[in-house]
This record gives sequence, structure tokens and C-alpha cells, in this order.
Amino acid sequence: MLYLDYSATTPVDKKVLDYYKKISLEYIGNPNSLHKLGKKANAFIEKCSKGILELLNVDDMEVIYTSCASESNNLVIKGVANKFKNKGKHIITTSFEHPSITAALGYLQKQGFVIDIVKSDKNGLVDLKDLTRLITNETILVSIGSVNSEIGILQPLDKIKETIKKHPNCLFHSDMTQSIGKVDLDLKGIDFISFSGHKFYGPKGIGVLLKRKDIRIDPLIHGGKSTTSYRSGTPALPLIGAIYMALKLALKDKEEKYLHVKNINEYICKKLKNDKNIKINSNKYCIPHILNLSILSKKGIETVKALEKEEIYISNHTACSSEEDESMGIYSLTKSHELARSSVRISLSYLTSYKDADKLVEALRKLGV
Amino acid sequence: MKVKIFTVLWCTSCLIMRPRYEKIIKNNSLKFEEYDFDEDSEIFKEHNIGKILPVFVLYKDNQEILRIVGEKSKKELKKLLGGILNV
Repeated sequence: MLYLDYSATTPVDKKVLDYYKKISLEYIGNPNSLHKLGKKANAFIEKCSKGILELLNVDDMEVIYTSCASESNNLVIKGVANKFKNKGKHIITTSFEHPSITAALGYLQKQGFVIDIVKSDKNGLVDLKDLTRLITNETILVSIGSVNSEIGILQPLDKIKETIKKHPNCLFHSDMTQSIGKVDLDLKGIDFISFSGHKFYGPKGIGVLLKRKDIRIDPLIHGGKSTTSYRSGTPALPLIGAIYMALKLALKDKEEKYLHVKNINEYICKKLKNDKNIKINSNKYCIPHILNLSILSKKGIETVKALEKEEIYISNHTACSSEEDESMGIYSLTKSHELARSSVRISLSYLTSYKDADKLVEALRKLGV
Repeated sequence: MKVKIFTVLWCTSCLIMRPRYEKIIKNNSLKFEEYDFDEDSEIFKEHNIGKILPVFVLYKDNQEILRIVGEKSKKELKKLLGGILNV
């Protein structure tokens, strides 16, 4: 079996799973309980939150635990919209966002919010001039993901931050689900960051929204103050411990892991570059963990199914959207329905070997003939 | 005249086109219905809606007279609808 769908989800690290089991048995109290066991559990969560903020080198933010990045994205978008609708009803995003961003914005659009899509250049990077043009006094939020999940485009966050910060009423959210634990980024100056644990070898079922401490938003789930008033419900302590541990492990030797993935990506691209029926859609601005390509004679779903027969597992686009339609991200980048229909996403890991890469190349070549 | 719009909440092209279509509908005082891919799959099938969204269908006397598929610029919309509606 060859798993190359690491951007959809990663296998949980055994050390993380062992830790999950250990703390499940060790911390039996509800962190909201006022007795000793509750306080012990609460202190553990505080320790994890402090640890996450230290690992990510942000000191002016707080951690809100959610069930997944989609919930984090919904919480921040709807939470900001509801809190600041009296200041303005304008939100800006890109055409490369995860469906949990676009769907939340679609929902708000139907409630009367104005949503603008900032232009991108030919490489998929945000057009900063267009962003400057679009931001007005009515703009309450800009939501731009650090790395697009289908193609891997890494946005110039520092320049985007600079542009947005000229407008004090406008907040900046970045969905970092595809970059946390993989790519080194300066998170300072961003107001909200969302991510989930299962993208970096943590368990499924836990997400995070980092929120700047001095900004208040409306919660999605009401129900009284838990460890935070922004997300009621009994905190999932073992999952919280596990995401902290997963992040710690993901960031260990991160430069070496990154370099390995980069080398594997380049190795695959070099091997495929002369195949006329294969077009690489990812470009030099993409992180090496994501390699998007099109086998021109086949629909993306056909390539996925054909590789599945060889026990090679990839995606045709973001796992959360419909399986049969074309890739909206590739269409936005290339304006080609052919490339959008035939694109597939191969996602690599530090666990991917050169032998794995050879097996993939051979299978793709066979399909491209 | 009446309009049916077929969209889905998570589609960027739908985000772009919805306000453009809403403006046309308002300017022409058209009756309209909007259907969602995730919730109204049967209605999508009945209307032969393909994979590219949004789809704007214009009816006159209950007969389909025009179908616009996918993202269109304001200029393209003017060209497509100019002779029929106030765009």
C-alpha cells in the first residue's frame, strides 16, 4: 500500500496515540468541575495551550479548541461577522480557499454580507494591489489561507499582513491547516489562525482556532464558560493533549523533514517532466508537500480510481467537496476546464521514500500513455 | 419572466455570481428561485444541471429561453442578457 494523501489526513503517530491513552486514564475529571480532579484537568489544558503558543512563537493569542479546522473556520468567519456587523458587512477572500471558508461566506452572503474575491496573479498569489483596492472602511475581515490545499500555493503572508494592517478596523484570518507543522511561517500580526491536528500526525477530531487575546467574537456554540467562552462544551482533554504532542513532534527536525519532502517532490517532477500527457499544475510558489498534476486523457476521479487498484492512494481534490466535479482551485489558476477536470493531488510526507516515488511515477506513466 | 439559479454554498464562482444575478433580478423585478447542489440534488437532475456552477436559467411563459453556465464577467453577462433584460 502506498499512501500519498497526507494533505487529506495523516496517520496518527504511535507516540501521540500512546500519549492519548495515557492522559485519558490519568485525567478523569471534567476540566469545568470545581473539585481537585477538575482543576487538575484544567491545569493540564492550560499547560497544553501555553505549550502550543510557545511552539508557534505567538504570545498575544489564546487557544480555542474545536472539533476540526472546518469548525475553526466557521467560528472565526461567523463569529467576526456577527460581532462586527454594525461596523461593516464586507469580507474579502481568495478563490483558493477550503470549502469550509467559502461555504461560511456563502451563508453570510445570503444574510446580506458582501463578499469579494481578491484577484490572483498567474501563479495563484494574491494580487496585493487588488487587495488594497478592495479594502474599505466597511471591510471587517480578510480570510486568506497560507497554503491552498489542492495545489499547495504558499501565499506571501508578510506582504498581505502589511497591506491589511493599514486598515485598523479590518481583521486578518489565515487558515493554516496545510502549513502548521510543515512550513516555517511568522505568525505574528495575524489576528486568527485555524488548523487541525490530523494534518500533522495527530488524531482526528481536534482543531484549533488561535485568536488574538484582545479581540472578541461571537461563539458558534453557546453554553456557558468552559475553558473558553468562545466554545462551550466539555473540553476533549485527551485530544487536546494529543494535538499538543503531535505539534511538538511535527516541529522536531522540521528543516530535515521539509528538505526530504522537497527532494522527493523534485525527484518525481524530474521523472515526469518529459511525459506529454502529464501536466504539473503546482508551481514554484507551492510547498513541496503538495504536488498537483493532470493526466490529460483522464478525469481526476478516473486517475484516483485507477491508482487505487494498484493500492496507491491520492485525491482528485479537497476531500471535503463533491467527488465528481472539477477542481475549482485548478480552474481558478489555469482557467482550463480540461486541467481542472483531470487534476489530481499527490501529497507527500517525510515518510515518503524514493522507492514510493518510483512506484508512483511508474503507475502515472502507465495511465498517461 | 422567471429565473432559476442553481448554486452551491461552497463554490467561489457562485459567491462571485450571486450578487450579479441578484442585481439583474432586482432591476428587472423578476420572480426567482434558488436551488442548492447539496440540498436539492433531485431538482438539479430534473433540470439537467451539470458539474459547472452556478447555472442561471431564464424562463418566459414557463419555457426556458436562456441558460448561462459558470462564472461570467459583467461584460459577458451584458452580451448574453443585454437584448432581453436590463443588465
